[in-house]
Amino acid sequence: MFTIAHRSLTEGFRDFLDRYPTPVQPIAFNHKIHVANGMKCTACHSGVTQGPEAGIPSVAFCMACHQVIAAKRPEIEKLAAYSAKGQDVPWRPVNWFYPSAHVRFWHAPHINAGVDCSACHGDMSQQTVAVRKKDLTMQTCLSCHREKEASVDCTTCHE
Amino acid sequence: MKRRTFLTLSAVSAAGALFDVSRKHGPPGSEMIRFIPETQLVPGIAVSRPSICEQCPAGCGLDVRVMEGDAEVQRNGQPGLIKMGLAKKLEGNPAHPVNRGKLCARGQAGLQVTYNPDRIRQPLKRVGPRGSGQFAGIGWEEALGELLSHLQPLTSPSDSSSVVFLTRPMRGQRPVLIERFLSGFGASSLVSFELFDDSVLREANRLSFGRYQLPTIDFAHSNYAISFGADFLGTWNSPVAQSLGYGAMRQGRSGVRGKFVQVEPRMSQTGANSDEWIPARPGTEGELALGVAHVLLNEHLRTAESGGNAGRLIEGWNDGLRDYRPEAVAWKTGVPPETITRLAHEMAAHAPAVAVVGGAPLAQTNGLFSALAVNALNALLGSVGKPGGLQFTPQLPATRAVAPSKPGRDALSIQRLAQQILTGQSGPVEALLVYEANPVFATPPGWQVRDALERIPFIASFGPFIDETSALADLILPDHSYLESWIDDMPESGTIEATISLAPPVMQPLHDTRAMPDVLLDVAHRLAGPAHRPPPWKTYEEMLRSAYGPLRHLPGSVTAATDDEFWSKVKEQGGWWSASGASEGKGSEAAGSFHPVKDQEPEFDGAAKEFPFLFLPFASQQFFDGRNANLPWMQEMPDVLSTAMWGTWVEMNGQTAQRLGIKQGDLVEIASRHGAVRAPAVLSPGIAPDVIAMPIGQGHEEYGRYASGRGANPLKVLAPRTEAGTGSLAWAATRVRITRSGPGELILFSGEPAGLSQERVSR
Repeated sequence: MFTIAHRSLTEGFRDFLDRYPTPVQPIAFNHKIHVANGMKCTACHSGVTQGPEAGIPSVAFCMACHQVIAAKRPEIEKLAAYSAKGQDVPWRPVNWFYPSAHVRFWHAPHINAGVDCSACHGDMSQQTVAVRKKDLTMQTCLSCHREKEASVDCTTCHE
Repeated sequence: MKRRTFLTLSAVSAAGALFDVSRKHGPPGSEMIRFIPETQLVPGIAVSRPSICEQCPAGCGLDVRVMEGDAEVQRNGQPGLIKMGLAKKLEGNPAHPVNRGKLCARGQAGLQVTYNPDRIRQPLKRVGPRGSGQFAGIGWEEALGELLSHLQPLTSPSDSSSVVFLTRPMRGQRPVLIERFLSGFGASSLVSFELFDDSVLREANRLSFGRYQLPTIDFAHSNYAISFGADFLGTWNSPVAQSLGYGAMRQGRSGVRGKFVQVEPRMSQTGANSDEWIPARPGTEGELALGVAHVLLNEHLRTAESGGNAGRLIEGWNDGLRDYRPEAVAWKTGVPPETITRLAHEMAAHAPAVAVVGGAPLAQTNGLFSALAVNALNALLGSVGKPGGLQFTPQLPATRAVAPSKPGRDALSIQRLAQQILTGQSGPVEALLVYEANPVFATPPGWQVRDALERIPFIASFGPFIDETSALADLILPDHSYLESWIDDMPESGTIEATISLAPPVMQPLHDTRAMPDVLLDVAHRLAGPAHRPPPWKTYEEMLRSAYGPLRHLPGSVTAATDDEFWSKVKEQGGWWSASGASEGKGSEAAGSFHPVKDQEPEFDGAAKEFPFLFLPFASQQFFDGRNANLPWMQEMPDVLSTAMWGTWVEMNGQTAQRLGIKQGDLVEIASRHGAVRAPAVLSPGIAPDVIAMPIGQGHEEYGRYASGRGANPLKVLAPRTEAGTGSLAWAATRVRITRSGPGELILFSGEPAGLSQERVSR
């Protein structure tokens, strides 16, 4: 925890205790409404079946619908304001690992092997702003890998 | 750093980390403004895109790894972050006929051109006195308005005051566009300048073989190579292609290992690879070549007729070169007569043998003679146009119409331009446009280029960096980096396939910059007027497509049914090449009437008594002619032989140094009749006792944080001598003296170049 992998001592402590602070998002994005309206996870997180990162769409993608839909809501007005300024929304990551863990997580193999998004992220149809629902520790990963007879080699996940 | 300082700093930073007031928690990179992403890539997946290397004139093809990432950029005058496809690694394009998947260190470091923190991020207008480096950022509309207000009055056909475009010698469509742009003004000229422009060798090749072109040496099939001063594995001509060929010549054939002899007074990286290193006296390389030719003729190992036109250019050729008996040549060159005879016998016995000339021998006052002599030797050996010999990259008939005009021949040189401005001859120069040339850095002080440029009322620069020349500009219209631009090139050498390199941008521009060709097209459209007909293209991409689209009908590396398919395949491949053009081997440019050349002695500036040493600046492996000095990877790359880094050094013979009381690492002063520079000494056994060598590239006054004020610029002691036959700068024709001026600091990486064991030498 005293390595230069941490930007501060506090961060080192948090890493040591496996604490991940809950980020404050610039816009209170409501997952529940989007899922309830029939949108699939992959509609926005399109990278999830193809590569390591799920990805977050740009403000232009959001505005494709929100030019019209719910345009008067305060949170959507915040979105439109970013778009008008030519800026992207500075979303803060929710599920991530401290660099000292040297974890190299790839979404695509998990999704393509039929693991449901909720296995790690919880039931998004019940969440508004995304929070870290599951304790994504090495124990969590390993128990699932063992259960599904996936590789438990160190280098499968760590680089 | 002292131990106490280190401990104090550690304590302070630990305390800072403990209090941790300034940082937010969570993953990095969320404090800045985020701009809307400009590309759609799968996050975390790398794609490969072709481009072209612009780090030296070789024109290698690039294979760029592009991946999504966060970049710090400037948009509308505001800094922020953007998620976009970013070039992450440069490699050679495996399909490209010049470099075939390989890339040199300078090429690899090209990434640092794009991501350089000193890049100009938006148009700049000068606010302080000229040369003070005080600029203010402005928008593109204002910048273009400013440019137009200076250029518009000059479009009248009757106006005698002129517009000058100063650039490096270029190939492809950019020079065509520049010439077209200039044709819209009453009076204009295109001045091309590059320190190592090799125009002496091009002229020699035109006279000898009818090709105004640099040669492609087929080392791969050669059994014997002799190089006169050409550092062909490091800096000269097309180093990657030549290194590939050299590797094949030495180790690529079972049971055959070609012999390689290097003739040069200071051992270069290429010399260090040779089987035999011959330090002939500087400027006598041509003499030595003809000495070898004499033996070949005299012993009837080859016939005079086989020399052809190249032989006829040498006086006394048909008489068996009687003036070049080994004893006479030995006296002039310092090479023993038995060595000369032996070289001739070896070359005759190990065909195909090839001779190469380049670098310092061509930068003597008798450079053309030396080049013609080596050409004649090649012709005599029967190696011209043959496998294992000297060949020429075919130039396509379809593209010859748009091939660049011959730089260096008939064209206005920077030296003559400076003279005209200073003496007030011909019409006044009203406006100067500068693109990719830095003559203020790379010309001898005697040419007075800075003084001349300062007299021009308006200077606009397209440079992406502020260097010595663009610091004088009134307006800077920053160009994209080459990874952000549409780019094309037609390699002049390095392959025997006719080659067009062409690539779209591999990434979006990071900053508020615009590509020079697009700015020229934009300005040309705005310069309305009867004399200034607007160009038929709106963008440079359109221009490239109209120029290279017709190649679809020639047999080549791309077959396509439609124009659109052709274009998309060319973009994907990074160009178009054709082996079928190789049959067109013979030169077409008539040599004209040329009197056979006599033996010419090299002339050196300065009296031998006062200035006892010959000064040999050399192209550095890291910085070439100085353009790469702002790349930190190049600064920290140790010189191959001395292992010196982050600075300039003076290379001298250990015995000479002992005689003068100079030790390794001492600061020494090199002085000529024209100036003096100081740098630490590196003692080396691989240099002639009467030669002092210095790498070119450092000593920038103005070139960003990594280059400015670092090292010394050896060009500032050069005499304004020119090569007699072509008028190009004779940068190896100056005499100097050397004196110890005190303790110096030399940073060496490792090794023991002269019995040295410390890593850092302070005296």
